[in-house]
Amino acid sequence: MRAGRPRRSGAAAVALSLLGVCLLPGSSAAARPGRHLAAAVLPGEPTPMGVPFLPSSTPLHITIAAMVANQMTVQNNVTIRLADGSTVTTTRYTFVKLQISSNMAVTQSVNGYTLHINVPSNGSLGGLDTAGNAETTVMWGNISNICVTVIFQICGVQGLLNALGSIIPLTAGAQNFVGDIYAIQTTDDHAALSSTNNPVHLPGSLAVSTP
Amino acid sequence: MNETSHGTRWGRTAVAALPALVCAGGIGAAVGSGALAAGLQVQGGSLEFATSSLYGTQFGAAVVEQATSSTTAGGAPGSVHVLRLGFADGLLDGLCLSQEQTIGGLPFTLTITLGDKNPGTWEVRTQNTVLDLTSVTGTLDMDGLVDLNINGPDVTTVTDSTGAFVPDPLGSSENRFGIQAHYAKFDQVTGTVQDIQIPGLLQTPAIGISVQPGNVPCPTPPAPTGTP
Repeated sequence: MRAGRPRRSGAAAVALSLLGVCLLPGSSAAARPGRHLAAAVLPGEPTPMGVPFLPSSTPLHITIAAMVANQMTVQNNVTIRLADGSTVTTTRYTFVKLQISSNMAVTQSVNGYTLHINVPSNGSLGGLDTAGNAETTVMWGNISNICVTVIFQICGVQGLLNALGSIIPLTAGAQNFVGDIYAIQTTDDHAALSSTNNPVHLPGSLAVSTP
Repeated sequence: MNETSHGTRWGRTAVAALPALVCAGGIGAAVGSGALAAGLQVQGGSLEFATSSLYGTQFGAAVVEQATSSTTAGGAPGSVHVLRLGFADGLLDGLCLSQEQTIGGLPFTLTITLGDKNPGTWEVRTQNTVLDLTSVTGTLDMDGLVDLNINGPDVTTVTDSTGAFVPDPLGSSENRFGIQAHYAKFDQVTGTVQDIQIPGLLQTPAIGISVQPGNVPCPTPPAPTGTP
């Protein structure tokens, strides 16, 4: 990390270039409605399958110390296509109103970099939309551990399915989430400019390190 | 330290900072006559970055490998990975960029500020903003359809002169991490960036460029108030 190191190249090393200075009528970003934003599939790339977009072929390693959700449902044997063209059969998890209660860490190490996303306290991967409806968060990948305490602690997705059925309530909270997740998509059908009901709320830090 | 050494230091500093000061004069003249629309590009290594809030539509981010002026032990060109953020339309609630430099063995800090110092105004308007982060802290909110770990080149965000989305707008390679969201708001952001580019519209009520002796970091940005 090069933060804060004095540079000897002098102030001229900071190239501040005005590409054009002119007076134009005011134009408010907030005044323009956002166009629908969809992932592109570039020429030569494979067509997405199983996920609405092509995920990177290296999954995100995600740990969450404590979390709360209205529910989680599980769909096994879902085949998805990754950005390198390969396919993998994995699991699709759908959460409703997924909140982070404590310490989420996301890492991805590949191609000479390591990405770090850390949320040390409360956060959200899906909240409420402006209509008050709970939002959904879909993950494609493998959750290798998650624990719920119902009188005694039950860990593992299959253990939860066996104990709690196909719709797993997480309203009392879950702990020790560990997953290798290829893709996450969160949907707010009522998103709007100036909305403060944001489905993804990540107070913490973002960093990319180069070995 | 005596008076003579002070004079010599500031003479060198003034020469070294001349490009920035000339730009400041040009910007200042434009600001003085009304709304400013300009392109801004600040690069040249690690910069300290601080803003109360960055809010924008058509948000995209992807890991990108960026060349640096350094070389590896083997003599090859150096590079660093960054998380490149792109906002097609953006609002900034104040902005401070600073870089510590050494001239003649003496440290000084070049600082660029935009905005009105009011945390409730989101007064700086931008188009097609690109920001290369290496390490930041803050609160990132995203809304609409939010995709995480999307293939970097497939992210859509900034537009060309016709308004069409630019293919691979962030210059990412295949299989790199990417994010896409309809809207994003990044509050109380402080950290290190490799560069910032605003090639399109830039409107700000005030801009300042200063050169100060020593290491003078950007002040901690206040929390934004209200909504954009």
